[in-house]
Amino acid sequence: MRTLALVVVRAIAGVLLVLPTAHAESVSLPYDMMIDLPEGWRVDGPEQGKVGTDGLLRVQLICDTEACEKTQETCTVLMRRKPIEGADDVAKVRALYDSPFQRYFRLRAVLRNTSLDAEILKPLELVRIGDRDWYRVETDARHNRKSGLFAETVVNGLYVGAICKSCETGMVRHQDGQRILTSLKLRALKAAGVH
Amino acid sequence: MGILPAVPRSSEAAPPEPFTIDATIALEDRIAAALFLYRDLFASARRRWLMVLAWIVIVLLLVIGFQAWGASGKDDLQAFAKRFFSDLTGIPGLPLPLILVPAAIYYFLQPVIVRRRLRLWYRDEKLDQPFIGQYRFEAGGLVSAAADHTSAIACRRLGGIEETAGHVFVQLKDIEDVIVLPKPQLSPDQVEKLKTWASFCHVDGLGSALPAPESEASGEPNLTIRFVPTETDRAATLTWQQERPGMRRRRWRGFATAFLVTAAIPPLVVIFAWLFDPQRVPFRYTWPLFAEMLVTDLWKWILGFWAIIGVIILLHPWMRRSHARQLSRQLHKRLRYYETEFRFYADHLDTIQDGLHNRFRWAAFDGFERKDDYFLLRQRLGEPLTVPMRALDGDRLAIFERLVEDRITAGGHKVGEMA
Repeated sequence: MRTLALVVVRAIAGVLLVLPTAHAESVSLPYDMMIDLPEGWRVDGPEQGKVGTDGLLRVQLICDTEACEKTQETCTVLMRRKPIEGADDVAKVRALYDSPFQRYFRLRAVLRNTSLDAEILKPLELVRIGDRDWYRVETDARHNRKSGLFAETVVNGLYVGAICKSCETGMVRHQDGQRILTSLKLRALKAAGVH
Repeated sequence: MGILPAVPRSSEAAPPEPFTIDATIALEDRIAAALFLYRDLFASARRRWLMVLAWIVIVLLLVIGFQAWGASGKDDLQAFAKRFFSDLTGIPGLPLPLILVPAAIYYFLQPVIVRRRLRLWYRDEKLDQPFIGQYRFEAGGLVSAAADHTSAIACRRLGGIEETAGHVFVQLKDIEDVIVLPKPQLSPDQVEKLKTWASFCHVDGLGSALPAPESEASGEPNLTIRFVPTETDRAATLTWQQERPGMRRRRWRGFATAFLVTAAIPPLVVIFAWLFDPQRVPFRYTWPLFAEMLVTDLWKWILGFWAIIGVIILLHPWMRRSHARQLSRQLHKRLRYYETEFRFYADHLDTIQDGLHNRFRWAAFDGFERKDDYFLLRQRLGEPLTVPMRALDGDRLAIFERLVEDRITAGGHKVGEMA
């Protein structure tokens, strides 16, 4: 009986450990959005972000855990104030890369952003992350450079992008980054308890 | 002192002895003659091209200059110069060689292209076969005879000779033609004789006062008409030439080529832009996107080009007419036009101007056409004779039509029966 109880306790503990929101901390982003940060992650700089020369608002996320010492993971959330034209968020995400020219320049940008001679690990495509569609592409950097997870979506008509960088080399990468993307929500919805 | 009496050279003073030259005039000689005859037009077309090119270069340099001025901070001349030259040799300067190199190639090849076009034109018009010309040089002028056509030209209608590496040209005054003699067929003695004759027999020479060589008398003509050729007449002939089967065929071949070339331009632009981009995405990721671009976008650009060509094709008849008008104006300015008399006989046709007497046996023609206000008598070995309707007043038209119908048939079978 003791052993059984121990197994159950361990199992529950295990479940709690792998649950992404177990130790998550919610962070408010500009434009009424919010994300949950996995354990060990924090906002580097102001939570309201900084506007770069390209007009995009950037919120830097960094990770201080032991695992991150090795992987050097970081994420940047990018947002644009100007709403995107279109019917609804789903249509707007799809419209981001309607044209092969747009897709070409996206690939060019992410490859440049990763490193010289970088490869495409996962092609640029629409994927479901959390409860929304994202245009995602993953790059694979050469020696000693960080590979990237690049994802973009539209929330309530506003463009939201994320760039996660990591030194990981296996097939499974950017797990924390994916969790952060999954957790992206509008604050109003969160308050109403809608997922 | 110092003033010498004007003693004419003996060769100019004494009428030269008549002599004859027989020459075989091949296609290349005719091309040389056309190049010589219209050398001013070809040269000005080439110069015009150079001017257009210069303007394009100036505009491109200005654009690059303005951009460099803006990028260099607008105050430092040295920074501007540095930026300007780095732009010039970099990507922003790329349009310059892209436009300049093909344009310069065209400029240098233009004489070859003109020569080739002339050759094709002579072939299309079946004027590419060699013929034997007989030229008699007399004190009073020159008589040229080839197949069924003889011309007697007085010295006052001659403009002296011009020698090139391969030919001797006898220039004609106010006649849109030139007599070409291939040099390899001339002996040095003949060339000397020609020079002596030419210094006597030209519009400003002593021979200009002499009567033209006599043509055989022909008796009473069946019909005589007179008219002064005008610029409009010249345009009518040009328009007719533009609609010749060979010209039409080449035109349509040109349009077909334009369709093919413009279909290749959009994909090539994309490929070149990709090739020249130092940050280009590797080929393995690019080619599926490129294939998609063909389907989603590039065909629209191609269709756009094709629409432009379609508009050009629609406007082309009008463009051709305006070109014919413009060219006829240019050609008309080069010559003074004399009143021309056409005398129709049973076995030949004489066309007579002051100091010029052409005789065509009917066999020289292989057909006639009526086009708007003109009749065109097609020659086997040359350009057509144009007869304007205005010269055929009263019952002349009926007589003329009966005559040419009777004398000229497509196959030429009737020709010469009554001669």
